[in-house]
Amino acid sequence: MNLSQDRTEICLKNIRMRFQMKSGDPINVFDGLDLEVYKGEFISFLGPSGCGKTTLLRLIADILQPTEGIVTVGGISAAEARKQHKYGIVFQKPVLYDWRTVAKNVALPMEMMKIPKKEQEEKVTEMLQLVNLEGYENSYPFELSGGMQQRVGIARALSLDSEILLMDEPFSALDEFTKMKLHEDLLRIWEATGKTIVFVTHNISEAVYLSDRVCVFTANPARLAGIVDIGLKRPRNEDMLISSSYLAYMGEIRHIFEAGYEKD
Amino acid sequence: MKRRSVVSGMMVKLAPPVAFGVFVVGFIQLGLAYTLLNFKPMQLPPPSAVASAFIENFQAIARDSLVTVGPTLAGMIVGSLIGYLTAVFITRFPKGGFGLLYIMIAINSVPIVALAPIMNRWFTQPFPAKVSVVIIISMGAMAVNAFRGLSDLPDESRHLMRACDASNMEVFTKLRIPASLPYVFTALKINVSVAMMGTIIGEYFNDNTSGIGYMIKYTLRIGNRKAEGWAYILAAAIISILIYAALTLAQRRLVRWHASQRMGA
Ligand SMILES: Nc1ncnc2c1ncn2[C@@H]1O[C@H](COP(=O)(O)OP(=O)(O)O)[C@@H](O)[C@H]1O
Ligand SMILES: [Mg+2]
Repeated sequence: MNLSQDRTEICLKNIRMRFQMKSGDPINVFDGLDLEVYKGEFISFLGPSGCGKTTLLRLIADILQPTEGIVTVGGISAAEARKQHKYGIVFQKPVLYDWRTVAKNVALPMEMMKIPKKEQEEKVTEMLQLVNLEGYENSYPFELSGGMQQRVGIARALSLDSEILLMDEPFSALDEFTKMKLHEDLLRIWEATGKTIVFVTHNISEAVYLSDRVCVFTANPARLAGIVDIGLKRPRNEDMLISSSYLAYMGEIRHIFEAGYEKD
Repeated sequence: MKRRSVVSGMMVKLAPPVAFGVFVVGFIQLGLAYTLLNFKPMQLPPPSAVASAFIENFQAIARDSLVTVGPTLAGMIVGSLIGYLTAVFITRFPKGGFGLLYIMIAINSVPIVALAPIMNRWFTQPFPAKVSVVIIISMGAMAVNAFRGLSDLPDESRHLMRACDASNMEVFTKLRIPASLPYVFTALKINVSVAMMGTIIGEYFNDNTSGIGYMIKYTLRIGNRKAEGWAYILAAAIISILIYAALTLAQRRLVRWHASQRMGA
């Protein structure tokens, strides 16, 4: 019991989430969900759109509160964890502030924590190096491509060295080539920093390629249909994308997904 | 190369309005307005007469222009400020504050021709009478536009603030206020012509014998001073254009990150 608590970074217990729709009946997105995320793992939430992935990530981030149930992050309540900057977050869109330069966007969380200017600047340089954007400090978001903007978003989420990185379909708007490059970069950063990464996606292949574990969700009803351990060795590389074990994991996930619907 | 393309870009932009101006001036000056459209020169003096009236009376026109510009700018600034602060209040306290927006729109839609005589009765001095008209008619556009800019934000930009554990104050200083700047300029630009109109109509109804509004009313009544009246109208247009141009320059500096500044670039 104690052992598993030591390993647990994020814990969701008996989560119910009810949205009151403007017109008509409330909808239940989760009806008693239990899930644990382990320290240092790369875990994906995989499912079709509308199944509640974003909602789940927002519950962890204390952007939303569950109708029922308990969320703990790093052993404390989600609200407390947010206030202590336990996580960095990356959204589907880059969500950069247009009026701020790249450097100022990356520094935003540090600015709010009143970290000294000098230290902020050093950290910005370090972060931009990490995401391969050296030299773009003084550019404005509109001067960057979509992929570069998303890199700025990642640099910002990493800037406080939080133990947890929450990512909501961060690459789904990018082209295949940019996405592949960012996969490599993200895995490199994860391996270098030992962070816990919670990665939301609707792309089966992406989930398998990146993750230690993939949580497969179905929609209507939103339910965790199964969790798949991905045994592919690290570091991952693109050759694995055509390996038989990779294809077997893809098949297993498809199967879980279909079975999840057949139950009703 | 870059410099040249900026210049040629400006020429492309200016070509249609200049061509239109030349056409209208030429149309009247060549007498076509009188022969084709049956205007009388006393109704519509030829542009050359307006130009010479403008030059001959330049000192008087400049003096009256200053009388008009003062309350126009003062009223526009104060009115816009009140409108902006109202928008901030409504954004911060939407439940209780939203009614304010309707009140402001209601006040805003009182006709100027009704407002001006009322304010001239309320205030004995012409300056506060004119300023108060301008304040009242420039609050609304700013309140509505600024509210939009302060509140119409993608969910995620607010979520980012929450993830950073931002205070209410920081949400305003780091997100809402900068995001509202493009809308502030939109409202200010709307308010330029509105404010000029407010002052001029205020002067039209005031007993005081100075200001562009008064001079337009006075000179247009007199047979041989009609060209002078048109020269005052020209002055009003020039002032509006100058204020508008100053705002455009400020906008270019302050919100060059906004999509409105990149059209065709
Ligand atoms: N703020 C909200 N109000 C009402 N319904 C919501 C809200 N947020 C999400 N939902 C509903 O919850 C369900 C899950 O949404 P979401 O978490 O965004 O799914 P996903 O990210 O997997 O596409 C959807 O049916 C959506 O309509
Ligand atoms: Mg989503």
